Amino acid sequence: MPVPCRLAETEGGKKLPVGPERKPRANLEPLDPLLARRSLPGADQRLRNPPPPPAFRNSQPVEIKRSFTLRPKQRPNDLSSCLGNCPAGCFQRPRHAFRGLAERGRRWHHAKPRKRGPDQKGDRRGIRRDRMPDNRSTDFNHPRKSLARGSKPIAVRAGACQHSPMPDPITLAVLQNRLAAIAAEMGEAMLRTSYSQILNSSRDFSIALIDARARLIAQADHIPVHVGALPWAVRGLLEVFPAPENGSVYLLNDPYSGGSHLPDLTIFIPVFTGSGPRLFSVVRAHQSDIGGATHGAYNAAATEIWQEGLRIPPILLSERGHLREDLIAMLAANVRHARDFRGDLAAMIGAARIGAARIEATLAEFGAATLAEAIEAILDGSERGARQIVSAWRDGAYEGEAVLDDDGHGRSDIRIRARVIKEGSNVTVDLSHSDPESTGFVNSSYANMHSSVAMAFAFLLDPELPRNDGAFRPLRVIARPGTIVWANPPAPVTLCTSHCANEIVEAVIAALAPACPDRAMAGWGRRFRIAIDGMDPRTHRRFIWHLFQARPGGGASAAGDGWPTAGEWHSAGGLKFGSIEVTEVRFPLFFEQHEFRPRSGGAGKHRGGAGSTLRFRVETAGPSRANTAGDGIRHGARGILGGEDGAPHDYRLAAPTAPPCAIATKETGIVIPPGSRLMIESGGGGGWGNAAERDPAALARDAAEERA
Amino acid sequence: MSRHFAIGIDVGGTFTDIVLATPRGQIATAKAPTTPADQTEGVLAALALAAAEIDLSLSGLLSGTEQILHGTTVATNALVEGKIARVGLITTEGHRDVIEMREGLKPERYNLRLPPPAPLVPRNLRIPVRERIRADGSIAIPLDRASLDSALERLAAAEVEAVAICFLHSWRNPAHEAEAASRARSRLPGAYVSASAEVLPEIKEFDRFCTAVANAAVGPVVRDYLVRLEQRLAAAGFSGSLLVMLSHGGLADIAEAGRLAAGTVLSGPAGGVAAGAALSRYGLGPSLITFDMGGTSTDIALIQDGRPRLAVPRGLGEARIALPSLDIATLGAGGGSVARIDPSGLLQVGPESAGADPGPACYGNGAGLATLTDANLVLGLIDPEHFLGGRQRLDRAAAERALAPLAAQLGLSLEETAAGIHRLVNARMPDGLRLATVRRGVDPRPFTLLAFGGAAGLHATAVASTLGIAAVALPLDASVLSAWGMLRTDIRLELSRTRLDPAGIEAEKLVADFAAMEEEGLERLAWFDGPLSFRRSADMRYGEQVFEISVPLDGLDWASSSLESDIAARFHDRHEALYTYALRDEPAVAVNLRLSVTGVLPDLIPARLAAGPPASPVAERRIVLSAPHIVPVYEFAALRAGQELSGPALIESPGTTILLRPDDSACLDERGWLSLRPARSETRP
Repeated sequence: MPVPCRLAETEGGKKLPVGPERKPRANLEPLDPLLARRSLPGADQRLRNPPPPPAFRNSQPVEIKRSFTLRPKQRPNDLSSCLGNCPAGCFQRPRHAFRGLAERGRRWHHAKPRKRGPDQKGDRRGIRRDRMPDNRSTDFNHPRKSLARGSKPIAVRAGACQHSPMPDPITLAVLQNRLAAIAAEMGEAMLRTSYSQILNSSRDFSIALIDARARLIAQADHIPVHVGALPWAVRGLLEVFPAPENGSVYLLNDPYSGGSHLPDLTIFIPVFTGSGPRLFSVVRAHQSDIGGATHGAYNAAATEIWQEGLRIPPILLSERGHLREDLIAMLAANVRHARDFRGDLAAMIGAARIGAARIEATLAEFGAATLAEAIEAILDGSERGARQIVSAWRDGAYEGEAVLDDDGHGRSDIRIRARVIKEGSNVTVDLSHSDPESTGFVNSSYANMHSSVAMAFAFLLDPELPRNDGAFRPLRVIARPGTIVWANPPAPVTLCTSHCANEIVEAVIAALAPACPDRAMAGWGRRFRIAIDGMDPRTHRRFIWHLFQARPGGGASAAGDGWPTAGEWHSAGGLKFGSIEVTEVRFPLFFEQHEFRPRSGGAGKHRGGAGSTLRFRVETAGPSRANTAGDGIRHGARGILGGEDGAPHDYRLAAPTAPPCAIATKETGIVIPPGSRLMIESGGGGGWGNAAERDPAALARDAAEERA
Repeated sequence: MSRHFAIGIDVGGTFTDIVLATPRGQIATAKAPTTPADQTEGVLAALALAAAEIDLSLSGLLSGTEQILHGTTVATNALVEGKIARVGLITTEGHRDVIEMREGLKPERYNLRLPPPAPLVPRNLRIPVRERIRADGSIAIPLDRASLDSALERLAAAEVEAVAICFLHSWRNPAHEAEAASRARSRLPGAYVSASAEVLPEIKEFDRFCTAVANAAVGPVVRDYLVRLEQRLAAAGFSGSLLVMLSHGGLADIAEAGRLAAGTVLSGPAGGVAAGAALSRYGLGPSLITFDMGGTSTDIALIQDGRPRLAVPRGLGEARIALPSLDIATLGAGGGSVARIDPSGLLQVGPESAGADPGPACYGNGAGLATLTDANLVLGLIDPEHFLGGRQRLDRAAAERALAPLAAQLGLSLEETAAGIHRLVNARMPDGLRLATVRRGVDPRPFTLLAFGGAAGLHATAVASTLGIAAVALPLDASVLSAWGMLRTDIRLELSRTRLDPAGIEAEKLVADFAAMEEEGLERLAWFDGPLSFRRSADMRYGEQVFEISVPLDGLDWASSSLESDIAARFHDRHEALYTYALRDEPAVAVNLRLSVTGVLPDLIPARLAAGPPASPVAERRIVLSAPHIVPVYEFAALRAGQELSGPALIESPGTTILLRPDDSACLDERGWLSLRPARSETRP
């Protein structure tokens, strides 16, 4: 008997088979013989897929150059001169990066590296074509090759510019701390002033200082998936505003113009004073609503981006020092919670202004030349640290894969494939064999794809290493537009900061697990959110509630068991769930149970972190409606190096008069009759290493504490 | 013999400090080594020394003592060292993992290899009981006695020493918790029982449960210690009152301190802050930043309008304590902070500390860790012969050996490296201080920096000048300042109340709530016969925000018809001052009401130092700052009131060395502190 808990089929499009069953994983087959030979025996890889679909056989993957460092003598005074006509790569950008911009007639110059004679080791920019991992790609390696070779720690003077006085090592250390302190202070201001629960409780925002060459200079540790994406937002901004005005306020959200997904608004305030380094104070924050067809920004039914919400290409939000109230009113008119929107925007601008003021003070204190040189040295220092770490990993070609359940439109088991070549201190991640883009919102935007790979790489480095542009220089990314990891406009992308970001991270880390088993961690849980829109019978007011409880478990690692209920790869313990008492005061919900879900973490030498069991009653006046967004009811977080996978999610809705029915991860318009119970089991983290090797004392504790 | 002495006792990590006073002023100080195994030993030994100072026997001193004011680190040490009671948790069925879920948060965002720490109560001792109260206080599921009794049986079988009772919505209706607590007390008569609403009657289960658990974890050890101390003092002839410094900076009797054991974790540092408040009264000005730079860390607190600020919550080890406590920010840099080269090749100092054991390389304990103290020694800023008043000799050669590898990696000379470490600390301190002050919505520049603690004197003027702070003060009693401050503290009770479904300010209800809290305060301080005063404040926010800011409500006309808009205006002004903007059309919500009840103890008469001919330097020494200097060295105790000094110079006391940089100047104030004026810096904050 059909369960009367869904709206009409028209609302959500085709329905998926739902349920907790898990397909057994197929036998693994190598992607190609060359890679098969180079894979390590016994490696934990899932090369079980056929070659990439024919449609993509002949298309060229485009490599993304992620670092843009000029020799000092080439450094342009005026950014516009660099943006328009620099084939040498100072602002190189892949052909299809932001097709939305290309459609509007703005095209990027695409570099053609000049070929040199066979006796020479590289081209004009030091590019060694013989070192390329894949002859289909072009290589835009970093010009400062000496760093790539040197494995011995060098004093901070290395990499100094030839014609400008080098700051002393102590000034460098002072400035590195200062830049981090500025980002931290901006984050504090944001946390304490923002309006919506998603920001002030769940902390879904990020802060960065980025220079006019779109290099990440400093960041505060908030949401990892934001941070690697912010430099791309600066690029999107610079394309439209090649010469930003000092102190003006700029805004962006469009994923096809440098953003990640529509709910993430990004505020930029340039500090472009005098001749100093040109820095942006950047704040990105997730809005509780951004218009579009459904509340809460995640529209599982969307098949094109216009159904997902309001698109904001880079715009100038201020005029002569004042905010454009007309523009803000226009934006606020297009979202469902204008008050929250305005409060959050005010908090973002306030935080960015604090950052701008502190940068100016730092410039005044140390001088423009010193700060500029210090930034170069800080970035070079991080690069050196990262290369030293990577050098210790086992060289080889590796493959990893992660699987999305479905796209919400009838297509399931969408695969993200990472081919990773680790050679010396370089890591090349090739995602171009990932499955084609999907109809629904699990596609990744370009910036988010890049950020996800950077996040995976950062997780494998030392936590103490400053995460800036330098740390990511050893990393190269190859991808192809039209794939799930890099969708073409106007494909919907809203879920991408969760999915497929999580899968990209997992594929990259799983691939590299045999290269650095002591650094790799097993899979973290998947996101599965619900937004409920209903009427509170106590106040007769409409409410929208976002589920942040029922966090999934974290993955285990060589260092120990996974964190319980710490969340997903993309937030890694940075998303706070609200107090149940406060939730019950504010919303007509009654939480019967919120506890660890026993046996949900994957078994292993180190056990995956537990997910949650959550049961709550919806005590609304009339029926409420819910949307879901997430993944991971078919595939759990993966175990590595012999560890088992974590349990997948299982979400069920029990209406008062009906048997429980499973809820799918991508649905809109689910009708929740008053008095319904939601019965949620969230996924656990993956296990690390063979379960047979688990310490007997740990096993005894698991049993005594009813964990496993 | 009439009782006329008051004694401040501060048990620190290394020394137990005593300050002895009569109402006419301070008469003696004493220091004895702290005895970690049983701190009462050290306390009695220090008391005997203090008695000897004034030619009395211990019993002669104690029988003549009216009050002993005590700061203890028993709770802090127990939490930091993990030597806590075996705690069982009785909690609402379906919610046994609240304390270990940690609200979904994990520290160190990019450290995915960080294993989860063990919670204060293991899962098998977190026992669910069938009961449930709703958000409005009504009972959804009555307390099931059978399930309560079987839970208590299990805890009895597990031989727990303490029980925390934590039910959902007990902030709204504590009936179930009260019943469970009373059954626990009768079933487990030896156990320390702590119910969450008794400890912290506020909404937000994670904070409340964690606080109750922390309270249970340190309760037995704190209670036992206080009882033992009271008995030993009584046996030695003491019949006055023993008061304990709490984290919020007020004093409480030992019954209250034993009940709120988790409220004593800042008992020691609170003395230093109290000293700041006292110095502020004595003429140092209304706005101070206390800067207590010790061996492992630097504690910073703000005093505004002569009063320290309160904050919640606070983490310590695995414990989280949401009781009102002094808003003390801790920076991970002190004399023992270790210098190292980070993975990106840059010099870093801290947060790792060499601590007291093994200590800096120059202590000669063999570990050879290069610390800030080693750098300062190599720079000539510390006299190796007179460290801690000559109690400890320092080994300069060992310091140089420890710094040599860093110097080699940086390509700098030994002295350049040492100067670099010194400078980096001078630069990072202001960053941390700025974050600590700005996070609290305060511009540090108009403040006076009150420096104390072993390492503060060498860095205070540089830190102040970078921050744009024009005045630094270093008290004469810096080495016993916490005990000194306790003598100048009042009895205080902090009451709070979470309002039910606040829709705004609701002035009428607010007035009634405050009246009820005042009743409670009078009742709980009924034992105190001195004058009482009340201070009111509210935690307020805009409707949709989650973080409240504290808005003082003193000086309002409580009978005024415009009370509601007056309160709202105070909130908007405060928000604008803190965060650069206010939304004056938005409704303000008052979430928690706070009432501070103070029992005023008589203040001591401030000291007046004698003037006289200026003291001469006792030595000359070569030091290295940005360049080498030959500087005069003065003895702090020999300086005369009104004596002016100018930098570069060193001023030595047994507890600390004060560095006057070139162009700094100083003057000894007759009220008992050295006033330092840092050279004006080019830099701006």
